[in-house]
Amino acid sequence: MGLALLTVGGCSITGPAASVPPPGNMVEGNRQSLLQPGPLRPVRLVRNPVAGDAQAIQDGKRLFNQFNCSGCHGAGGGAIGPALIDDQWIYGNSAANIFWSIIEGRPAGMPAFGGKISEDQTWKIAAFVRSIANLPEEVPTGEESRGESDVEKGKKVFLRGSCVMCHTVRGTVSLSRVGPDLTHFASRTRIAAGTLPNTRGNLAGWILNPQNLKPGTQMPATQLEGQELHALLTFLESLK
Amino acid sequence: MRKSLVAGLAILLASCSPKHSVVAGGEPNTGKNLVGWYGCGSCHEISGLPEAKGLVGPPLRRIARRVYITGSVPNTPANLMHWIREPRKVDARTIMPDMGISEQHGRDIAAFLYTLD
Repeated sequence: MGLALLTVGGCSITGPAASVPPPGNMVEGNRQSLLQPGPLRPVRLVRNPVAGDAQAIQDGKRLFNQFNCSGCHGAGGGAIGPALIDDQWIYGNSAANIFWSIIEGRPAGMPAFGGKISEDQTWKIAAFVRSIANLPEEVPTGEESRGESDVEKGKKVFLRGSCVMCHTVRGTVSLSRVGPDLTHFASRTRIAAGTLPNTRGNLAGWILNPQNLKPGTQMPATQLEGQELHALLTFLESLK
Repeated sequence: MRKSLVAGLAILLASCSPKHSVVAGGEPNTGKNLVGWYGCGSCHEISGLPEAKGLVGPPLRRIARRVYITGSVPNTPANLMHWIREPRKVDARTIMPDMGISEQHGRDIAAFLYTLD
């Protein structure tokens, strides 16, 4: 009987924000550098994963009060903080803008909730705020649907991966001198220290398994997904 | 008599070189050069091409005798050409890159691959 009560009690979230351990992944703060320790992490999506979900908006409403957003923004009409139902948005009104305003905080009063709130909860609040502002449902603007070109995607693969550890591409953060400078890679006629013609097929084989093509080379093999490789090839081919 | 001999010889010759008939309009010798030019050998071992020693994808040999290609589609000339030209349309997750191969080049390369022992 006591156990049953405990179980029921554990399911209802009614207390103040501080007593609710945020479920799910913690959100980190604003990143200043593309370099990172440890293994690669997937690129964060910028579209609201709960967009268009009525239950998420309801949850967002509850969280809006629970995290005391209402303390400054009122019910959305504003008080100490700006109104959220008018059409003035200092820091943007996309779900991603709102997400980051919550996580990072904004000057002159908006505290940074990063570390105090889960990613999922933040997206729900963003969805709720957009709903009270009567903003239309967003067309997904995730990395994959934002119309990002393969060159841009490939540049990210290059900068996120191990390529930056050894190569220079001027105009990017990649400035290492260990391996060849790739700034004008696409203008080269041969790759792999002159052993292979600079064609897409050779380049793919070289990136994926250089040791096999030129035993003893310093270039390590790189493991990529098909889409990553395709984007990376496109990026490298753009370096005229 | 002579006429039937010529006809018989023609049939015999034809049966000796079925490879040319596998891919309509494909020229195996051209395909062989194209395979070298595009750099297929950087990822594949290819029988009869000592410089093609890649160990990224599967070895290419006896392609004509295989039932399936790419691990998923039946081995037909049309499927093979499609795979050579637009592998990412056949399998969105494949590591094999699209290399901008033209229709005729795809034909020639497929014709060559079907000759491999």
